[in-house]
Amino acid sequence: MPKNESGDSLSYLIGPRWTPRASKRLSPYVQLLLGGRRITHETDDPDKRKELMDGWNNGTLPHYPMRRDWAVENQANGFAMAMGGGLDVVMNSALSWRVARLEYTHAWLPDVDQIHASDGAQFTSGVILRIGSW
Amino acid sequence: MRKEASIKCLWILLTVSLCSACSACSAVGAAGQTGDTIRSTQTAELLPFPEPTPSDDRNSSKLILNHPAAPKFQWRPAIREAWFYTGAMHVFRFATEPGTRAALTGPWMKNYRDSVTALRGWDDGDSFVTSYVAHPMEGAVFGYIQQHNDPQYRGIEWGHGRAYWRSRVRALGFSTIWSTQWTLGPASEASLGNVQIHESPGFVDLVGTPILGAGLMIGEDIADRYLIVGLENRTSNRAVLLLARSFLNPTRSFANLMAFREPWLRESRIGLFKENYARRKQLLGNTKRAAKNPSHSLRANQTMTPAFIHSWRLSKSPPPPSRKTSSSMEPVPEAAARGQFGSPPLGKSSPK
Repeated sequence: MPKNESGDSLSYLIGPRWTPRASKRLSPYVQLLLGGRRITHETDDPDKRKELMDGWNNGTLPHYPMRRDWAVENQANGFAMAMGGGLDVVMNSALSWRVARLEYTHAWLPDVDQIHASDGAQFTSGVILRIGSW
Repeated sequence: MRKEASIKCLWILLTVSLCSACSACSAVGAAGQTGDTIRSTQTAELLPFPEPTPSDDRNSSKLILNHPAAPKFQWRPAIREAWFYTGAMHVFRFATEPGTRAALTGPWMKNYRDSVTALRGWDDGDSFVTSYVAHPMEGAVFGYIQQHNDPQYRGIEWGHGRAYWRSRVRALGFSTIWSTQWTLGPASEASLGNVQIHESPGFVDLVGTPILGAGLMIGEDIADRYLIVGLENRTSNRAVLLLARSFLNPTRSFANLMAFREPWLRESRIGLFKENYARRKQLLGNTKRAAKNPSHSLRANQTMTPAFIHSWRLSKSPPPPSRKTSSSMEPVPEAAARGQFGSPPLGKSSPK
């Protein structure tokens, strides 16, 4: 992204997960999540913001400047889904290692400025804190 | 008595001066102490390890783990203290931020909804200190409020193994709820001041406050175990111990303040004043004499702390004390009643 521009993606999904070997040391799973996704592209104008803040501090601006006064925001919000799976390895009663999580995502969204976010794939790995097992 | 009063006044002055540097801290420091505070905690100072009673199990520091009759979490005082802390932080915001006061005008519900729905991205435009120091401190204060109202884990300290980590996960859960309330709830930065529609919105506070707060709690617990207990094992100087307990564990001190208790109070350890002071001084003297003259026999309850005894025994080459597992961990008040100021199991320097 160029300077003073930012792009954000927010997904809110819910759905079933099937974990056939939940009590075993090696625990694979698959899941299907449905919900929505919001893509935002914001362009800030720092000079304008400084000018507004100066006006507020000097008392010439009657209200505290809002973000929309110094930033242009384009966003799209639409239906989204994610399907994929992963593999967990139980290390002890408190911790697991998520060896891999691979997921394909699709969102029914128009392009937001130059952001084309309708299809995507995610790969993650990390440590899981297990609750209720220790 | 006059010396004790002057020490307490010194603490309050230092608290105010330290906290003025940090917004999250200042709001709490402003709560201060009252005469009632001191009176209400006097019992804890005079009687360091009271036996729990059904009507006053708030004084209990006994570890009762995995027991069907274990006392339940004290929701009412915990919620009261969490709201009091939230209110103190809001008072500080409104007192010091003209923009926040100005944002109170306008349609409240619409602005609140716009603020909540504007949430996206990570960074919220705050400085590094605000996002990664002050907000984690806020999370740690909420965590200690949880611990102080959790009779099962109130006396837990670093070194208590699995029980310690379980207590920290419980504190993390409580802290997550209250820090989310602080960011998005009905009495939040979103509802009072509409931060997200005036500045950049971001998830940094929602994630960082509880998680980094839990990390800060662990850091303070380690400092308490090694620095403060180490100091308590070597001096009975009340000013030194009071300042060490208060400022080396700042968020625990603030959580104590939110319950109108003395900031330096420790549930599991002997107090600093009056009879406790005399007792501490006597035990330290015994310990020093025993260290100078190893042939002079003293019973364990006539000398000093486990850490000191442990190192002294090792240097004199008797067999080391047996290691104890968390399941056989002795209750803290029992250990303390034998004259031990610090309470971790002997020979155990770190939890599992």
